[in-house]
Amino acid sequence: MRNLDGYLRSARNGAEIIKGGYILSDNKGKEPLLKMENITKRFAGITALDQVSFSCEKGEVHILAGENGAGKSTILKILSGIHQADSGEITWKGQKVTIKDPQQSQKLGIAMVYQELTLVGEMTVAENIFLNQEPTKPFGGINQKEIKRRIQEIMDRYGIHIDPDVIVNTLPVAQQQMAEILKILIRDPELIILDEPTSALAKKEVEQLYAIVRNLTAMGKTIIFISHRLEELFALGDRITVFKDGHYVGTRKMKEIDEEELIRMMVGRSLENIFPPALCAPEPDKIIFEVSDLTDSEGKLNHISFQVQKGEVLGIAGLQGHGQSELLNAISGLYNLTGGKVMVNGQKVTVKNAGQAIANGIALVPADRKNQGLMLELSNRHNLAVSSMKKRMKGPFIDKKAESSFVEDMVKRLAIKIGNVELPVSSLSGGNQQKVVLGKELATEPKVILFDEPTRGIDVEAKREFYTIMHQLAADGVAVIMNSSDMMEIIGMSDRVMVMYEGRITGILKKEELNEELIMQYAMGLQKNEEEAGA
Amino acid sequence: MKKKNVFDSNFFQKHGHTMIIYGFLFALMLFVSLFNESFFTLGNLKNLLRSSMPLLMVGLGQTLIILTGGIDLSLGGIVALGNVVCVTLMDPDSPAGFLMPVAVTLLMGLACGACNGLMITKGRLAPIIVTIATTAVFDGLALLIMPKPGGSVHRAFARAMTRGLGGAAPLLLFLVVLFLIRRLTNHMPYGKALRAIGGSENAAYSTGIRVERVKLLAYTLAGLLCAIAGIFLSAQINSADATIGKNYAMNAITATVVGGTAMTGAVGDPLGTVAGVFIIAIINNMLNLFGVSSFYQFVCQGLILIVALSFSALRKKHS
Repeated sequence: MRNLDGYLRSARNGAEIIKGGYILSDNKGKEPLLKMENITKRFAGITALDQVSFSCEKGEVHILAGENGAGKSTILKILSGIHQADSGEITWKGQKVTIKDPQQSQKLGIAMVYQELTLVGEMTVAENIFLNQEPTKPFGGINQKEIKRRIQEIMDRYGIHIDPDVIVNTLPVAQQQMAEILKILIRDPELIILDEPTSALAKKEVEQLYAIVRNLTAMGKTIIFISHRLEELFALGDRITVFKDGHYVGTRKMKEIDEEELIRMMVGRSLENIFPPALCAPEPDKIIFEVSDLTDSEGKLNHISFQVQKGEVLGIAGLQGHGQSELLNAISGLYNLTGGKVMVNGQKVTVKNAGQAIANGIALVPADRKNQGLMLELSNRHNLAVSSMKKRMKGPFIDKKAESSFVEDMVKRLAIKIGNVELPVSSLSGGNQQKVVLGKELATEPKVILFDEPTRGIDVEAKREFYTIMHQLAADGVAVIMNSSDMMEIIGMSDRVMVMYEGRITGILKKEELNEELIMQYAMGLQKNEEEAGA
Repeated sequence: MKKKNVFDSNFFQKHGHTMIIYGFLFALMLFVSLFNESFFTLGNLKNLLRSSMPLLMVGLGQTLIILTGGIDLSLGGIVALGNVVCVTLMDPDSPAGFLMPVAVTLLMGLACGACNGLMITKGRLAPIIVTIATTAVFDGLALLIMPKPGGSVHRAFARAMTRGLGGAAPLLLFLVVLFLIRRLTNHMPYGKALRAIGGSENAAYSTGIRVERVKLLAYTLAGLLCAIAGIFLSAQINSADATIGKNYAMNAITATVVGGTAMTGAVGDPLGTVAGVFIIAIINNMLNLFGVSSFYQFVCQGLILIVALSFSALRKKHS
């Protein structure tokens, strides 16, 4: 953490420069192809983009970088018409435009390859590539010959070969990704947005994609590229813009920046002191929870082994989609494992389904509280009591009195701000909703509690309270495991951090050595200490 | 380039299911002809087509909607309303007394379908709920217009519709409609859009497909097809009955599913639905022939739907 203050200053300066309305541009006087100014976007009260600006020159490969949740995908989805900005201006080729929907974006000549594939699985590759773009014959019929000819042409030009008549579902993901790219290329756009296109590709296809990108810029096309892989950024990019927490940090020429500075731009942030001190010290020789060799059939989990000591909070870090959520879900019985073992207090337990996991004392506070954690339309009382109903029965009926006093106790214990326990839980603020989720899980009296992104979308005060509860649980001898994409949270809360990359543990870091750059390096697979991880 | 032959894997991948359905249909026909010597006579086949006509129209409409991943339970209501409106407006004595009623009925069908479509697209309501509600509305309107069955139809018109051109008129009408619908679903951009929406509405939207417009058109076209069914029924039974539509919605779903269209959308072929309609018709015919009570026919249709749904679920699992 030693250099953070310096980074912080540069990051802040960047943010201020742009708020003043100044846009970094290399060739002044020349109109950029695309200019997005002061874009703000909120989702249900959470600000995803705050007065962000971004511009792009014709013919360049512009990298957009930043941590998860920085707002990269959001700004590009605004550009492609999936989302609409709440405020701000978009200038395309010198003209102000408003982009209402994807059709309009396409008409302007903008095309995007989304992170989640947009192919229709039941249709063939050719049908997908030409979807909404089909060449027709005089009477409106689709001109299959023309489709064949153009697919052949474009596949030859870019050296991608996929059987066009095959149903998309039957293809491996990497080939689907290439089909998706073909679908964009056939539309011949001027600006092509690639949102983490290489995450599903093997080395050979990545090389192919690089060649395509270079080919496209040689033809005068402009590319915006989102990626987390550092080597990729330096191999392809002309310029790079960094976002952080929905703010613009800065734009640099790729030639004038090194890895260290880039990571600094991506992680530097203000350190608000919101992390309360731990209530006890971990006891390294008392292992209360342990998993070994957890493996699934899809390669999301590769021989995961770790231990949790009594009194500690174990953090799980990594970039999105490297197996963290699968790991938590697997332990809590929501994701199928093909091998490995789970031990609670030295006893082997089976976690084939959620019921078993709960019965064995494992509870999960899920990342998606609205879908997975709560029954939003039902009352606070119902939500809090539902997981432990059977403990308060009078014959076949629910003991209302016992339930009331249980609910009252839980509300008090977690300091949930509730007007009326009979009101629907949707009436609460995000932070209090999250406490209800926690209360519901605590009611099962877990020995192990897993937090998946515990403080996403809740305010600072609620976060602090949440952290205090987590420390309290650890002090009470519950094994606390927290997955978070928020680096500050990981560093501020964890006694040890386990970093995951491509379904493996690349390292387990001790509290003394925690800093964001180091974690990022493990999270990007640039460093490994597997001997330690395997221990 | 090598020549495409019928057993090319892609051809089979695309049409395999439809071919199996037709195989089953012909086997069924042969089986029935063992018990009914007159089955393969021209008269009987004409009869079969004539009695299946309304369901063919409704089934094709339902197929359009199910391809988008939607469902329309109100199609029977539109058929009944079409029947009632057409007959009520009919002037049996004037030589061209059928023109206006037919035109009005077709417009009414379009309007009913568009109502469903608008509530589903603009109102963002679930198709199943919307069409349960509009079923009640359409049925109610039909009863308001004609509380008791009755009325009579323009003679020449009825004759031309059901027996015109030496009995080939219904066949011609059917082939024209089938050709147009199949061209739409299998050979035109609209059909690809329809299937794309059934496959993944988000994907379709981000590809730039006007999702709402495409869905609205599907429901509207289905309404139109139901109006045609209503008109044909009027000519066939020479009168109107406000309750005539009550089995059409479910039978159309059964025919569509039996014909290989997935309830989840995207996959299917109107040709398959045609086979589905005939399979249902022939099974009913057979049950009649064996003197089974018509109540068992309902039971039987329910069972067919369950079997067809199970098959399509199995197919999905294996693919």
